[in-house]
Amino acid sequence: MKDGSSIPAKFSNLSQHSYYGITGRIRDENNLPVEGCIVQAFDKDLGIFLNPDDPLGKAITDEEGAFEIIFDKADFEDWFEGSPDVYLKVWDQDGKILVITDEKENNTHKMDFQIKLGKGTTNPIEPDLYASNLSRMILAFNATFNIESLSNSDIRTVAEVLFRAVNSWVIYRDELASYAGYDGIQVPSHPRRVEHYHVTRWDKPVLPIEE
Amino acid sequence: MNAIYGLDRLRSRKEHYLTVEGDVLEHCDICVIGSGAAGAVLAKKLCDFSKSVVLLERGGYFEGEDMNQRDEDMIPLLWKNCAANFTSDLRIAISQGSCLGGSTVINDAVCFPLPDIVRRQWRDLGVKISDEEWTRATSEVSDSIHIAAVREDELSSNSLMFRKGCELMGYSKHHPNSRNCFNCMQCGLCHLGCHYETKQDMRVTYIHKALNNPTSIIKIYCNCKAERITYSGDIISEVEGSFVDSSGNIRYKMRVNAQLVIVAAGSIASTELLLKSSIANGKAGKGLALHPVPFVLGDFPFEIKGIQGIPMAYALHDFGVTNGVENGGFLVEGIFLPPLQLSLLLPVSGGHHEELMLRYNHYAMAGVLVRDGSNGEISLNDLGLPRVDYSLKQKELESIARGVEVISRIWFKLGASRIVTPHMARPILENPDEIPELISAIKNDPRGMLLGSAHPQGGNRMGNDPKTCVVDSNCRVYGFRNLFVCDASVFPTALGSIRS
Repeated sequence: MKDGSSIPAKFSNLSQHSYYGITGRIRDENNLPVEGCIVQAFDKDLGIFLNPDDPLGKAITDEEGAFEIIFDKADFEDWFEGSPDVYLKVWDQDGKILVITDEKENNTHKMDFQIKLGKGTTNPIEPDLYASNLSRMILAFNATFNIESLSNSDIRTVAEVLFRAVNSWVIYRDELASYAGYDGIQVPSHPRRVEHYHVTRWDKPVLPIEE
Repeated sequence: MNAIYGLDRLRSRKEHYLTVEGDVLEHCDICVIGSGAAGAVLAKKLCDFSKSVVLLERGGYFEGEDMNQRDEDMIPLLWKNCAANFTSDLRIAISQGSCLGGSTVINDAVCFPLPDIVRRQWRDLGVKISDEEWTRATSEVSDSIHIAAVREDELSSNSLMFRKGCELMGYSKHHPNSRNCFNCMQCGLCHLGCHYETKQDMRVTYIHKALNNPTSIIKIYCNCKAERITYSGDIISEVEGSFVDSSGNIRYKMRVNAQLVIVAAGSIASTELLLKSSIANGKAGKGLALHPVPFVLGDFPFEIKGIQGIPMAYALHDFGVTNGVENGGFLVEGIFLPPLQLSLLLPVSGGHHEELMLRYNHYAMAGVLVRDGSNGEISLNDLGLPRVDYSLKQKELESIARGVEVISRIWFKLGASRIVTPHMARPILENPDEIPELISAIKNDPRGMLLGSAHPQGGNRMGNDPKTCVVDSNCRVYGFRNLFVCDASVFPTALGSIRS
């Protein structure tokens, strides 16, 4: 299983079995595919010496930079966890580490990693471009509604709908992110201040439609 | 020295960047106003011909590392007027970019070739551009921005749902889109700028090339709003503008003396500039088309996570100009939106709005891209700000109704427990039998709909009649020797499909 030798027929059957599937592609700083990278998946475990992270499978990227790793429940299961906390390590052909992704628990049995090599340059004295953005946005919306004739109840209705949408975002966005499970943000809030890898990771739901 | 100039004290940028510290007076061969799809290509090509170019851009200079994937941070930085860009009755939200690279920085990067029907119709309206010229220009741009079809393994869950629906309903012409994206990272957040610089927008392609060609002479001024074009007789003498900071304060003044001026600020802004300069009065602003888009969501009992992957990757062409429909017609596009934008098009408010937002991961979504008539007009209001008046006519309502029905039936067929519609009076459908009520609401109460628009076109019509058209087939403004308008505002009719 670790070398992907007995691959099940379709990823869509994964959750019915105990298999997990990881796909991905690696491109370089010029967006060109990188062949020959070594990719290994791990399950993060608590502790370091007594409970090292479980290796889940290894692959080498092909000429399109693509790789595929399949692993089984048995590869990570222990007393504490029923689902794996998956992260990837990527090395070049000389063994130099290129990327270590963040770990994240997976229970969809299906993950995709899009990786772009290289990290952005960081500079702690960059101006904060995002300061007051939300208030600018609310002011811009408010100004739009004031300019038009709000004595027209027709327009006022729509203005209220839109303004409440923006307002509700302000109030609810953190709740929405956690309750609604929005996982779209994958870079730091100030990318120029925090060194980070360029990884898009999707834990993909299996759709109950034939693929 | 070639450089980008702006008001912010930026430090680690890939391009040569300098901060503006006082009023600016420039002399150049050509002043290009607007750095979007048209302005950037023009500026670069003019540099190739050894012209000195000054490029003015109202918005700011942002690179991949500035795109932090958060709606509330990126929309105010990249979108025109923080996305508060509406028609006068607030029914249509018009998406446009205002930053270096223009709308190409915030679009979904979808590219279609100009449909043959549209070429022919434009020719009949007096646009004298030959097929060879179209083909040559199109293939040159396509190569520069790396247009390629979306691959099978790149189709997101939302796209797969839409494709499956098209198959089940028996439609014949549907396929993945082509995009100007090079090995896309599939983060799903194209509208918030591409953090990874895989999207081949104008900044990373034409603008980058123009700045780094050693024989170019180009200065790009960001945060610089062009306010007036001054002229004497039929010769343009100057472009006047202001450097405006993020709080809206005017910090410095700008004046450009140019031999030739090209206005490429996009529909609405190009017209605004002409009207403010008293150019093409009575003609500029007429004949705006918007490609209005109603969105329809299917709420499913299982998770789809539509945001995971390329937002606009698959389209249904059966009903559109790309399938031979001569008059009007529409495309149906699978599309997904980041949360704040999605929240703006839900036709409900209050607690109902919150309840619908919490279903975010359970939605599949598609939109109807309507090829509308030139039903809109741009004018200046009392405060001197642009005002867009637009009304949907019978033809558009038919297309909207038909397209909304197509999508609704697709989602119900796939097992949606309910549909979220674009209509405020009929926001939720619980079963397919309710679709006729929605159609009736659309046709009888069109002002109850909330629509989007990503393709404002027209307003400064191209053609061979100086009495009704603003520019000729060379984009030269009638009545002037050295003034051109070259952007989507010159389109004589709506395209009906998408060109990045």
